[in-house]
Amino acid sequence: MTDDTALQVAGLGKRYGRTWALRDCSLRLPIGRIAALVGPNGAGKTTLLHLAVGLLRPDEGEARVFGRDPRAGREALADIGFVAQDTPLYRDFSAAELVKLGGKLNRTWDAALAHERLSRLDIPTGRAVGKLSGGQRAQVALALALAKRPRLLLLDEPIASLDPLARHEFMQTLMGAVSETDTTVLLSSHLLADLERACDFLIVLQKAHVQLSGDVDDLLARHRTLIGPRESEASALAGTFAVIRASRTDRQSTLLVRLPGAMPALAEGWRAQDVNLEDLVLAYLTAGSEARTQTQGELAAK
Amino acid sequence: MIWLTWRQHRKQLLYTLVALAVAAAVLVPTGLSMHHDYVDSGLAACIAAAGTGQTIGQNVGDCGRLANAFSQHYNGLAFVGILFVLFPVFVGIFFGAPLVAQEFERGTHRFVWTQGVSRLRWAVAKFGLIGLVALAIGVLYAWGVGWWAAPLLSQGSGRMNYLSFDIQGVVPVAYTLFAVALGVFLGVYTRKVLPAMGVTVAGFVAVRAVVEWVARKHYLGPESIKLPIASTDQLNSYAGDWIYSNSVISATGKTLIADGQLQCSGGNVTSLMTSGTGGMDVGANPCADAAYQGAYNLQLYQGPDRFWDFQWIESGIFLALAALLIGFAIVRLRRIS
Amino acid sequence: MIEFVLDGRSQVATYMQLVLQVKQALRVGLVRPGDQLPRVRDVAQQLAINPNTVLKAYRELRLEGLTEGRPGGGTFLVGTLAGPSLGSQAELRDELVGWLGRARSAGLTREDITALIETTVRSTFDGTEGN
Repeated sequence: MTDDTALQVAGLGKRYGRTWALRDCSLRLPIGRIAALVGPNGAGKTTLLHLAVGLLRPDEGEARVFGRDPRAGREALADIGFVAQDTPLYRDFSAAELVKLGGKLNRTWDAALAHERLSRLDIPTGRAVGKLSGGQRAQVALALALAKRPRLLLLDEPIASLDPLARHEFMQTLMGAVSETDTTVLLSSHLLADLERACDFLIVLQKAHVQLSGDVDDLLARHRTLIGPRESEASALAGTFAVIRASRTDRQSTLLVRLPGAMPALAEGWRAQDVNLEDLVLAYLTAGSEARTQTQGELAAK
Repeated sequence: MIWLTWRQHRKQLLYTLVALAVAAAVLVPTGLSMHHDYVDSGLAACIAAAGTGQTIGQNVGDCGRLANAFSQHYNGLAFVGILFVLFPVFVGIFFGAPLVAQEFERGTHRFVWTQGVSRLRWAVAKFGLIGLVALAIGVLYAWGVGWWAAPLLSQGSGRMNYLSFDIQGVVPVAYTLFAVALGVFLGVYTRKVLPAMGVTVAGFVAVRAVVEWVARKHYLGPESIKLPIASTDQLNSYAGDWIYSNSVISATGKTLIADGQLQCSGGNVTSLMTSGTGGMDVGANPCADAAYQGAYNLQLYQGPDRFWDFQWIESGIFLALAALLIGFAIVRLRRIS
Repeated sequence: MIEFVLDGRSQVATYMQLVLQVKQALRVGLVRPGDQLPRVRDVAQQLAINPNTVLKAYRELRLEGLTEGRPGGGTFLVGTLAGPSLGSQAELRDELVGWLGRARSAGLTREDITALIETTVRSTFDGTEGN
């Protein structure tokens, strides 16, 4: 366990009845990152976040936040800000009352900051939050989570149910807030597009397993799309590349591959293209849904 | 936590107070009129004269007629009195069942459990405060209904009897706390408000029924009184006894009448009450029957002086159940994951 | 002060889009040496992007000698892109126009020419990409 780790999970597993919602999950999120947790619905994103915030107890392995078990007590919990899916709040409470409530439930609580954020967004603090728009309610939930001055902020699909404008505004607030602090952020979404510009760390979950996790730039640098004639595919690869996803016509092969290290020379007739985040996620999700035997895509920590 | 619980449930409390005020608006006038009638009709004095002794002389006033007139006049209200038996279960379903279940249903437990308060403290504060409110409501209800129903209960079958016993003294308070604990417990386990409410009603009725009709009569062994059939005294039916059985036993200890009373005077029957002879043939004139020579009436009963013993035993049972349920609920809450 | 705008469909990395915008603004005179760049927080919030991306762009500009940080905080432009390159650009442009004319008369379509330029640029700059 190193000091620059915000969240570390090792061999984490959680079971509901006979079904594993999460299994063999290992990853390390360094401090100061904004991480996207992506995967289809039911992949285990919520389970992972709930384990990280101590709402769930793991059946296997462990999750540690800044080196501590989140279920150990309120000290560990004090470091974590959490916004659950659909931003559950006491709907008949006003935003001002929720801020007051937070002050009573937490030792560290920056009520002034929360009020400032809400007034900057023109959110009526006297009205019951159940009567606010979805976007405003999400902003209230975010302001409450930030008022804890958390070192790790976990957001479960915070923008999934919002309209595009509200999504953008939410991400604006979040990015602005993160710039002012050194808060590490882990936010989940089943849509990568929402997070592509916001995150610099990526975790791909599929069918209860981590398919890929690592620094975004690093991941992009280590993957390419190779395009070339199908007949020379075997010789062109020659055991150098790990193929993540392949699509073939009768003449052409298109392969998304992981590089062994530096980009090696390519065989005659082959060319390499950079990948973008969307290609990468798609490739790993497809690979994950096709077979679980694929080697884990996790890259060694830098 | 205190503020949160107050803020979350203040509306509910307000509605409850309004409901109690409405109930008081009905109970106070009718109660006053019953109390006045009870005294003015002479029934109070008659029953007082009958005293709490187990037997009374033959010519103590005719309380039966007065009592009949009184209970016929207030027949409707006596029915209302029975309805009060259900009051605790309402507290249980409206305060107990939604307490935790609603947090689960709306997902707010995810908000409140990820703040800087442990689940244990959250649960203890919440349950404690709601418990206190339930206690206050229960005391108010027990005291109010106890006063209101006193005239109805002091004549007729007595304060120890089924259902009459249940709306007096301290047991209504214990029932209320039990109902709330049951609601909380079921809310924690079902995590859904409506099922928790439904099962609370069913569970409350089931437990109350079992305790009422199966367990209660065994709290203490019954007292007994023997009254020779030739005696001119009568068993005092205004003493407030909870009568288990009346029977007529021969001098040799043989049961002559399993369920009834017999009084003889000079070889003739002056009073014979049987309800179902149990296949026993009483004969044309039992008083002249040799087998009835020296026979006596045997009454098994719980005397009115045991009223508070029974109240405390029953309250103890329900409070223990309530504590057990809350304990299970807290253990479950800490384990939920 | 410069206001950054992102091209959602561009394949160019976000940080590089910011760098290019500053350079473009310098070229056309929208900003001058001595001007301050917006605070990292403001850019991150306005564009809803990772503040580290903004930091990366500003670092790139500093490495190219176009900006410097000042003790009071803030990033200021110091370099300029006008100057030696402008003259040679005109000359290179003339050569390119001539080349394009030859390519056209050789029968290449617009798409052919674009593809040729792209692949040539790619292979020429391949060794230096990503630095």
